[in-house]
Amino acid sequence: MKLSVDWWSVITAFSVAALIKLGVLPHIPW
Amino acid sequence: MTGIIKLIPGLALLAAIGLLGKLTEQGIANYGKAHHMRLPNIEYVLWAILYGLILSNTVGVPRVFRAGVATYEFWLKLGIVFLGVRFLLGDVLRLGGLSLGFVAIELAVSILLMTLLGKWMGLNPKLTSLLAIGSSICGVSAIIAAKGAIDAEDEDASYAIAAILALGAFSLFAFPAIGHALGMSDHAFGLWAGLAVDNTAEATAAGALYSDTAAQFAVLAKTTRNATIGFVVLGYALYWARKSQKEFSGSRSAFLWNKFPKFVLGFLVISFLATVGVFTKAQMADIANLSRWAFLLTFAGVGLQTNIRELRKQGLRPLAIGAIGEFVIAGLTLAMVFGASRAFTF
Repeated sequence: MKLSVDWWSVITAFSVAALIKLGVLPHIPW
Repeated sequence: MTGIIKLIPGLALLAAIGLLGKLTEQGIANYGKAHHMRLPNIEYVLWAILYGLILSNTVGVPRVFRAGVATYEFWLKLGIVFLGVRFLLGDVLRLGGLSLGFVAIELAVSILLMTLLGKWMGLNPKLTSLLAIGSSICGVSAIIAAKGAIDAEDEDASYAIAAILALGAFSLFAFPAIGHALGMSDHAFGLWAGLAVDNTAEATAAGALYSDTAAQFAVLAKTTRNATIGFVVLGYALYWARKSQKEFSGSRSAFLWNKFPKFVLGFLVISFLATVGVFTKAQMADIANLSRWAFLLTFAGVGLQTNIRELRKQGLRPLAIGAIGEFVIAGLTLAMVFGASRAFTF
């Protein structure tokens, strides 16, 4: 099954948020 | 794998245009600081759209970039989910009863007014929805969230954002002058700025131009409006999903679920997680910054896909409607806050 852009965005966001929560990603500046 | 390689030139173009927009915003702010001038804060979003627009409507976008540029929809939705971290449901409770009532009235009046104005002047319904959401909640972020949720055209979103930002820049100059002329207290002025100015950056700045205390109240009123974004966008998403169901015969709930933007759920879940304290302050700042980076790519893409000929078809009506609506809302909220500050002395 091909995932829609909507689902990809949700999956990516939660994966990245989890990495931030776990402290795997460094501080992200703006 | 070749699919990903094909995306690289377009992604690089989005990043280059977006970064140029960010540098322009910073450059203007630094110039103002160095020369002690109060220049309007025009956000990177508008610059990125503008640069993309100029490029695509003059030299055009060569084929090699197109696949990467088309990813902007993904960045939009990703950015919106991340944005949830900035909308804490707890902010709503900190504002106090009277101000909460004002926020509710402001929301209802703005949505009603913009919808009526849009209908009356024959604006396309999705652009009307975007203007209503932008003016009632929080300018750019709300328009960004709603654009994806109701599947509006790029041209409509560019137009609505430009209208809201232009009016926001104007309010920076006008609001403090009006506040001083009326002798408003810091509390009353901050509340008014937070209710009437649509973009968070400009609402905060308008408050800060008055006083530090006014800035605090402006931020509080503004964040309360921001916190309602999920509900309002959810409402509009359901409305538009239901509307397009008319041409469809089959399972109603399956259709609604199909049409329903899933990233709005992602946004609400992140907002909930942030509210219950899953993330630390620093982690929330990181996630909020990621949403800004995602929007930087998004709006370079929106500019690149915006066709000026299409915009011309819309004419000046959306801007006129935005301006009329904003003036009426500013007047109404001023009367409300000013009256209440006299009645309850704050």
